[in-house]
Amino acid sequence: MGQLLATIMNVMVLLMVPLGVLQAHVVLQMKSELLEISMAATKYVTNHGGKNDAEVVNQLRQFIHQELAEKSYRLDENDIRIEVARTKAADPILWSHEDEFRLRLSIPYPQLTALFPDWPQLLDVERTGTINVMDYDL
Amino acid sequence: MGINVLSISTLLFLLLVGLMVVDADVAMLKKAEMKTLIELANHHATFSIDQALKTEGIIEMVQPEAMDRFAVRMAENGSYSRQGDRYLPSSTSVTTDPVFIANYYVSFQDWRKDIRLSLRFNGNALLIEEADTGAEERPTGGELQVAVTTEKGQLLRIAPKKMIGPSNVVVAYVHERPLVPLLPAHSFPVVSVEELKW
Repeated sequence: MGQLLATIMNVMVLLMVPLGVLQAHVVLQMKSELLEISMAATKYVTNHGGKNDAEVVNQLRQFIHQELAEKSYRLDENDIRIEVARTKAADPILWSHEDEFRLRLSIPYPQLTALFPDWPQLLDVERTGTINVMDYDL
Repeated sequence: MGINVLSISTLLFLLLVGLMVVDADVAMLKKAEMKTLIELANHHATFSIDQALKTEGIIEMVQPEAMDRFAVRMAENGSYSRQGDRYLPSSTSVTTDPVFIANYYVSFQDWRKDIRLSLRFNGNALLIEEADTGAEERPTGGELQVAVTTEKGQLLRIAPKKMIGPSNVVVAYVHERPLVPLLPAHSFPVVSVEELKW
């Protein structure tokens, strides 16, 4: 009986290890995808600016949609929350030369098991960028 | 008895394989993220133009100010704090050991020429040993070649980059101890070239 119990426990521990490795691997992969796409998104805003807040957000959403479609990411577009706001603005409406902005992308934390309820709820990346578009080019 | 030895050795083997997989993930993530960080920071740095000279039609970067701006963006995007030419990571940073940064400014007179930069990492600092500017001018912009000699004397060449205007070149050298002594260390240079924004 004891032998049987020990065997069952052995097998359970053995299964936990690959699960843990897989969990770490998935989180790292999601994180690096998020880092990559937030970099591309920051560059996009940097090089395009915008005529107003709404235009910037719409263009950004469009851009991320395209990026996800073109590259084989594991990220799901519906999961990504986009927040973007200016931290330094020369003009109240136009997003143009040398304005600074903060971009935040977040996704629900990729959990393979529900065993650990106190894990963080979100995986997020924050980036600050500087716009390089003259207002007469908008 | 037999089953225990078997399962423990299987466990250790699985752990090792897992560690190697995760370590490879981490290495890739670090390299990509460091490139991103110095690119974003260098982009911000190159807005630092001498305004007095600009009114006379001369475009010149203000170097100390540019590197201050670089440091600000490294802090905002990567939580690094500057100490001379070292950038110290915080607990949320992508690396765990300091990152070494060197910069080289390519002025309006030189950006059309080919430039060869040789750097050396001596364990405490990343130094520019030689900056060779070619004589020939290319109308579309020169080529920049960067090579870094590591502590062990290994020469690492970085794929050549094209300059499209007067630029600030930033080289970062990441030198990290391995996760566990069994695994290889993560040491690599990354380069960013950004033209001045005016």
